[in-house]
Amino acid sequence: MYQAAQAALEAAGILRAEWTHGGLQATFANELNRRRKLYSAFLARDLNVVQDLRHTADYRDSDISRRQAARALAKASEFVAQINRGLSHG
Amino acid sequence: MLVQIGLEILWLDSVVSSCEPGLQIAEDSVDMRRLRVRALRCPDDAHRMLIASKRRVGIPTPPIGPNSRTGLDVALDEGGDALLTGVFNHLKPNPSDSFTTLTFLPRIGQDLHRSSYKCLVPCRRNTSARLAFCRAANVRFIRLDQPCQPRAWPISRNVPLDRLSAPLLCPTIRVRRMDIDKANESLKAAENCYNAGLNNSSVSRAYYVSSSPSRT
Repeated sequence: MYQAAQAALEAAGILRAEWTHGGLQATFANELNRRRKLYSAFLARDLNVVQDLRHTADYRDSDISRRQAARALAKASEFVAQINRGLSHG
Repeated sequence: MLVQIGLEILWLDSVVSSCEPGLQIAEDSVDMRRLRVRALRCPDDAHRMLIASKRRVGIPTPPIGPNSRTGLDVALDEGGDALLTGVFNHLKPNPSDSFTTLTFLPRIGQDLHRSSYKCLVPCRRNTSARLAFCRAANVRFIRLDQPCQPRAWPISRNVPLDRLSAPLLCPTIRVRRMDIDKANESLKAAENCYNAGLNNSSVSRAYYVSSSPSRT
């Protein structure tokens, strides 16, 4: 998702040498959703939701369920699909 | 973002606070051919003439003292003067300020008719930052949104703006662009992870597992 978001930002002319997760999410939400309204506002929220799930799965003691993983995968698929459509439409 | 540098500030007669910079991005959009920098007296068509202006020396008004005029009269008078000149009177010194030199005063998007352009104006809150002597500089443009091709170059004021589309030189920053195919590949790795029942594995780990299952 972050790679897709970075590709979307670069397609919009916002380039950086390095991106942090927070900076990428904030820039995606502000520039592409709030200002330019290129993508759905839910995408920026999904970035946070899936990142939190990933942190839970990777770094915390508690695990995520298969249902949570399925939802995260669905969000990621929708995210990348929308970015693909946005990039293909120019 | 294309920054047009129209005036070079040669001297600052006052101090600039480090907490509140003397310049801020204007909240309203940039009007077409409308100069938003009120501290400088310039005509609308800045490509023809730029007039350097000298700061009007403001005499501090005592906060408490006898005044023949009413308070509203004084406020309206000083407010109108400040709006016209961009110079406010200083009621008290600000000892926390530090002397700073500004080398240029950029005007962004003055002649470029796009609503996304911003305009830098003197910060109203930082009344200590005042410009004294300015002169018209060679109009230059700096392209900020294309880090691979940044360049500042002087142009004549008679040069049409379509010359700006000429190839730029002097690359200084290299930015590696992200390919969307990499995101698609990561998504496939995540699907592999999910299909393998690895709910608590990150994408990179899942990709590692799917690419080399013997290591698991």
